[in-house]
Amino acid sequence: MLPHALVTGGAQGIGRAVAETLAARGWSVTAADRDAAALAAVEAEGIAAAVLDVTDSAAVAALVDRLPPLDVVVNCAGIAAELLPLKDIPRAAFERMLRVNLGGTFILAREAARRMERGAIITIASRGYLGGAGAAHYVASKAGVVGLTRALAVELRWRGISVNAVAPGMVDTRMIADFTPEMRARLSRLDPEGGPMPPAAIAEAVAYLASAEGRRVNGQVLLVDGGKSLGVAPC
Amino acid sequence: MLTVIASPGSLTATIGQRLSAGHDSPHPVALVDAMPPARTAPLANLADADFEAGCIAPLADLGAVIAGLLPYHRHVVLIGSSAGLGGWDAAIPAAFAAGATGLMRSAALEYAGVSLNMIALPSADPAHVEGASALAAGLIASGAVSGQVIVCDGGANLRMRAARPRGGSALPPGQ
Repeated sequence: MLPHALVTGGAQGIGRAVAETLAARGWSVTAADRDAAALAAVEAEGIAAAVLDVTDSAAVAALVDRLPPLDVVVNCAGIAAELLPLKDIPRAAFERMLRVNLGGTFILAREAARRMERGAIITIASRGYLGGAGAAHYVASKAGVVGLTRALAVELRWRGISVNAVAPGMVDTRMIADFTPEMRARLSRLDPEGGPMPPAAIAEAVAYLASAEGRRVNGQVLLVDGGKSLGVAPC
Repeated sequence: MLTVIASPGSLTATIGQRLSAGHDSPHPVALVDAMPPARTAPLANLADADFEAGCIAPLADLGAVIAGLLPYHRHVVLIGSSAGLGGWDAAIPAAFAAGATGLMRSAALEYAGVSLNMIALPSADPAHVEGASALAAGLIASGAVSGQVIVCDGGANLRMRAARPRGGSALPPGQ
């Protein structure tokens, strides 16, 4: 039987690239996304599609129940926000950021782990987990994803499940298309890549961690950021 | 002036008492309890409400506390946990502790000239009061350290702990 992967946020950006990359390697892939219209385009490529809000744990459980057994889950669903000083972030926006990026990762990991026999859970953090001015809630959510990844890596290993995070730098997706030109320019100036990288670069890292060889890696954060995490833009 | 944001009787409150006894900083200082809730359970047994109450709400609370303190304090020390390094049955403490680290580092970037750091303890055991108090006093006296997590556990995090396989045999993935 073909290995089966569930990819959330699978209709756009990094998630879509992951779905397409795994499908091109012969995997059976289910792409889940909030955006039904975007999902239709993925479905047209022969990838199974499901409408899903990752913060709705009953829906996540129902989806995982009706799918064939999972070998790999990749949590790409996530949100960013405009830059705001910590003091100006409304409480509701802070909580929503945590519920989607961190809570969504928790729910998917739990529902998958309850049913998986062995395989890999891959979370998407961000270079930003190391810190960033003007995005304290986003950074907190992504740093939280890294902590969750490490704990689950310890906890689930005995069952043959590896848990790792990929932490991208700036990637050309709708998330950054929503940024203001000033924010885009500021981020590009600080980026060793000089600007956003294609989602396929992140998908390759995910595909490695999903492979039988890559599952020997456990509890790690794979930064795919051109070295931005070194803190000095090398160009 | 020393501001302590912690429940009475908590480890952080005790550290605050210890600090205020020898407190001589000319600048306003704050000490904040950033310990994760003691909710440990296997992932499969955690409900959505556990995660909401143990991680999401307290992280948003901590954000509000830091935002409220920073304009008025030159040095802020968070008393947090080393659970973010990973561990058994620790999904909620790990997510909270690591999330608090990200929050702390971002706030430290936003407020130049302020020192904001976290002391990461392996537990809320009172045995850590002395070491954490001395470290907090040092961070405040220096003022030149910011955005850092200092694990205060006698080096215990460096030691290997025995694996704890549960149930069946441990299988390498993919085989």
